[in-house]
Amino acid sequence: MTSMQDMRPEDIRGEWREYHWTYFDGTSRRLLITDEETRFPTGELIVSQTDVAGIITMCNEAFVHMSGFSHDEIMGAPHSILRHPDMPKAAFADLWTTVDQGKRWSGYVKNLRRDGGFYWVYATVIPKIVDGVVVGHTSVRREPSRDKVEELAAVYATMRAEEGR
Amino acid sequence: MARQFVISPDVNVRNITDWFILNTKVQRMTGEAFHATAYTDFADLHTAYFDGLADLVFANAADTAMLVRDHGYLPIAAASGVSKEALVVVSADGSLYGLSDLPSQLTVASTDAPDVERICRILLEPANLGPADLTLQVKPNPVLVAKAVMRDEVQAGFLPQDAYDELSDMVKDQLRVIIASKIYVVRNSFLASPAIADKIDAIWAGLESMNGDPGSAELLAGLGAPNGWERLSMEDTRFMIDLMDALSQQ
Repeated sequence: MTSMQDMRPEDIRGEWREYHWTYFDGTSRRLLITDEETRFPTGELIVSQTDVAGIITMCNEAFVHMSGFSHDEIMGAPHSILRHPDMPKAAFADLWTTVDQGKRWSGYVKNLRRDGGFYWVYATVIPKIVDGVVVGHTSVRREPSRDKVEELAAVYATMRAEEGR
Repeated sequence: MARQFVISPDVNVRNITDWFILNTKVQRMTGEAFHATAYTDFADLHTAYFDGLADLVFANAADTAMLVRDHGYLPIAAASGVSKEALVVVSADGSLYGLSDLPSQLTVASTDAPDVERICRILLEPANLGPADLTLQVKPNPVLVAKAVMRDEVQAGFLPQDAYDELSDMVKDQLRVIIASKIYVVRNSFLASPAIADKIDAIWAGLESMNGDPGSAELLAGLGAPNGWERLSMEDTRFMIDLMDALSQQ
């Protein structure tokens, strides 16, 4: 399991820049970010499940491969370990507002890899409901259209600017 | 009155006799009479579901989600290490070589297998092809999907991987695979209706006894379960329901 430890220069591939990122729960983490993109594996799906606290309880091989973590490192880690600072806070606020209402959310997401790089996905998050109670979330990511990635990268840049970042 | 063992159109018709042999085994496992019906199209199959004429089902993932969530079906087993994959084909004589060559509006032949259609629609999303950009022609079986592509009646075809693998070389030579899924988590499932919930343990015990039995190896291969069966939990099935929900294009 990996807690929200600071990213370490020895784990980073390529030239990096540093951020100090504060999460929704007040914890913070040193992020080391590069411009290295890993393209989504064609034909595959990235699948994971979390508990209600956002802790990863299940993931498939594609998730492990794309995140850059080992299976043991990622299981039990908070899903926000993949959060890239280029994602606007408003996008995640919309995600959680939607799924907290028991609805599905879909959108384009730039994720952070363990090595400081990133990968784009088209994500769908749905609440995992057992006996009428939300016990977690299932997230399925598929390959995004590159046109959409370019479009959303620009939209997110504008949103970040509006958030003062 | 005999119980109903429903054989889905997803099942390879070439091996249909193996499913009737399994039906005989199921009757021995449970001590009850089961009547096996091999459906050739999904509309009839779904009518059987809604009319309560399906007690034991080997269902694709999309039907599994519907039957468990909406009709209270219970999971029994799945083929061990076998997943449902799908691919998009075009004519080998044409000028389409990859997703980037596809036009903004596409005519597609497909069977009415809901999981294959769902997977293939997702495979086309990176080419900016959404639900409104596809015109679907439903064909009765995968061979006729392939023929529609070869005869240029449509620009592309959706096929399950196992059906494509069983096409003749002559047919495959006239097709070009432009994208194939590698999802690994979509599976067919043995399900029991609530009416035979008390038979689940007996059915599972019978299926499990086939695992590793040399005398069952040929039958298992014919049923698409060369590695035998594994017990399917409700948690596994809930995951399949969530997955199918997430993959639907809403």
